[in-house]
Amino acid sequence: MLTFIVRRIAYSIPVLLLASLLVFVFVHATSDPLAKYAQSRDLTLKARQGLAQGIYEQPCRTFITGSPPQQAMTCTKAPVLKQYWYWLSHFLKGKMGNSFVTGRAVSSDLKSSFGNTLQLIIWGVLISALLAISIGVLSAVRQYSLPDYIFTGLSFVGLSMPTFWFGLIAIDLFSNRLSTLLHVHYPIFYSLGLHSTHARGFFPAFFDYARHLALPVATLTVQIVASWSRYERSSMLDVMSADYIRTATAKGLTRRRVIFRHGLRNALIPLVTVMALDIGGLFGGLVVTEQIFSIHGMGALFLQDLGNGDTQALLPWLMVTAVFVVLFNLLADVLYGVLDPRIRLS
Amino acid sequence: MAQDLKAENPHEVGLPPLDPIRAGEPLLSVRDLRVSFKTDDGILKAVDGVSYDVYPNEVLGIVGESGSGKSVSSLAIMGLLPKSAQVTGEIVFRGQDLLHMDEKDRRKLRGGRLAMVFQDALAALNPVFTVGDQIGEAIAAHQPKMSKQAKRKLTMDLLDLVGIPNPAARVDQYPHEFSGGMRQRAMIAMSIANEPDVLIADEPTTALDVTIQAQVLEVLERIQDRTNSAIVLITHDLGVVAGVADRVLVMYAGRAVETSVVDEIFYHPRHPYTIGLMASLPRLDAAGAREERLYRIKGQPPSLIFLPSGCPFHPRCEFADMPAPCGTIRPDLELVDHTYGRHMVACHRRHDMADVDHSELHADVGAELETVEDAAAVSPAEATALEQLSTPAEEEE
Repeated sequence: MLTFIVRRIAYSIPVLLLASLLVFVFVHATSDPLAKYAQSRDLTLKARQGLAQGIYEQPCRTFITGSPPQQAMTCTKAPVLKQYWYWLSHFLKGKMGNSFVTGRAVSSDLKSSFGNTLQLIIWGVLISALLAISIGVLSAVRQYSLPDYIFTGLSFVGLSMPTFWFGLIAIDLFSNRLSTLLHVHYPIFYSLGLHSTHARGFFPAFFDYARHLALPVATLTVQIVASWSRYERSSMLDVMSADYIRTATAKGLTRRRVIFRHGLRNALIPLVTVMALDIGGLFGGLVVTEQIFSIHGMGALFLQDLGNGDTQALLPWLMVTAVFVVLFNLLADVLYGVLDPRIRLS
Repeated sequence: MAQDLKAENPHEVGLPPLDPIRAGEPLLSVRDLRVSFKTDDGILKAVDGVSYDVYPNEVLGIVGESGSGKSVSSLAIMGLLPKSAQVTGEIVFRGQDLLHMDEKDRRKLRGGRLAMVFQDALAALNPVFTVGDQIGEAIAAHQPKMSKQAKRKLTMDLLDLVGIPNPAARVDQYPHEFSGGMRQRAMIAMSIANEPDVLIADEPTTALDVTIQAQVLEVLERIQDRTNSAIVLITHDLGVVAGVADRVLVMYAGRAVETSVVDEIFYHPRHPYTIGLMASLPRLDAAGAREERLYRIKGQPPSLIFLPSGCPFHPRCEFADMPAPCGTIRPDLELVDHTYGRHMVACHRRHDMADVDHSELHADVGAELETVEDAAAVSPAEATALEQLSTPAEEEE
């Protein structure tokens, strides 16, 4: 098992290197904001120097020009691969440079955005997993029953409903109308950000946090549960018709034990793999949800950087999300091995 | 010609064993068991009125081709059929009527006094639990108070009993680490964990090599000697039946067509279907065996939804009296001979069949093989329904 994990980690290194090369080359091929920003008056000198480093062959020459006189630079660009190497070697050391636009350290923006997205993902995934497994098992064990039809219908609604629409409806219903209905002047569920500034103390703060998270997490959950519960249902149906389930029943086990120990344990194997892969994609995939609920997460950061043409900030963003996709792929493989002895021991 | 010996009671069709004094009362009595399924084409009668008895210490072989109802009837005894199955009749096990028992009591019997060994042990064992875990679970289901150590000890004893070498190491291995024959033995160890009175073995050797088959059968016999349980051996392999069974029940289209002690079935078969089966066995002793083609029963097994009129075997029967009675009246099991134990046959021409020597039957060499279209006697809906029988839960659409 350990050699399996080590080997699997070793495989992901060239994948990430290739990803970094592609990310760098494509970002540079599609946009060349350097010229623009190198001349920018809004940039502090420090930012400009940071920018110049590694992108240009020589330290840039600054000179005074125009009337009224102002500072300007001329630079010669290095070849792309040389720039790439410079960028990569710094990125690996954790040096991501400063934003072209704001001048702030890219890593600090990334860190705070990542933290916000992570909160959404943790709560959303926890709730989704519990719901999806329960619904999937119930639907499979009572196939073609009323609850099965209801959950099947709901999951199709969930799958076909666009995120932005559900998010907006949720805000309208639970943030606006619910307050009107209850004759209160504050929103029951917030639709902006993750915290209020006024909440003090552990429990009030947590309660406030929950009221902020409820709607975005619900929006996220609806999409995920819809697909995961369908997956769990079909996986469970598959398992429950297996011969070993009949054997388990023939041993005289209770129905509950047959379903949960023998059925669910096997039905979880493919679901866990799908879950891991899906979670890996969520780190960069919550653009719409975060935008709607004004959460400064990874998605919102991406839109901002993209809008600014801020390649210096975009590159680390793309790399971080790529790392998480690869990491969760790795996790999916490892979990598969942990759950299925046939993989683990071969 | 033997005189027609009517059974005193029309329902008393289960044969007494070779030694009635040793055997005593039947452990398991099946009476007029019927199992049907609703399909899109109509009602599929998988089992259509089967009766038999199983006595202590004996091996009852149930033979028949796919779709003859042999597996379905045993699943009905275990209560493992899907809910869509309509089961009627009577299954009496040690004086209790299984079909009118509540599910909780029935569950306690399953794997306890009444156990089953399944075909294809690779599929029948859960891949994610160790063999020892699964056997221990079977013990715990019926002896919940047993300590962990005692359970493990018993598990290893069971593995040892079925001839698995080095049980101490094997007990913690997963099914996929076992060979085919060892898996089947582990399966048997699991089924005998609670020393059942009746062990139903559904094609226990079908997926195995011939040498492994012999070993597994030997294990079954050894266990029977030790525990005095009765074994119902379901198979389509006549060789297995000849080697192990005391009595034989031949099934065709959901019904018993012939039953007797094993030697009678092999040496004096009376039903044209049984005769055909015997004639189609390759024989080393038959003169010119290499030159002649093997005998075969012509045609296909009948559709269980649209059964032929009269005797369901008549379209394939070489001896049928057509149109009547074979094409019009379905024959019941009748007693034909008492010499070695009761021999019963469901055939209108049972008395004429005594003169047919099955070793004289030869393949009609000139006959054309059936075309592929003929082979589609089983409708697609029926095929699906039959497939579902092998699985406890309904399949997704």
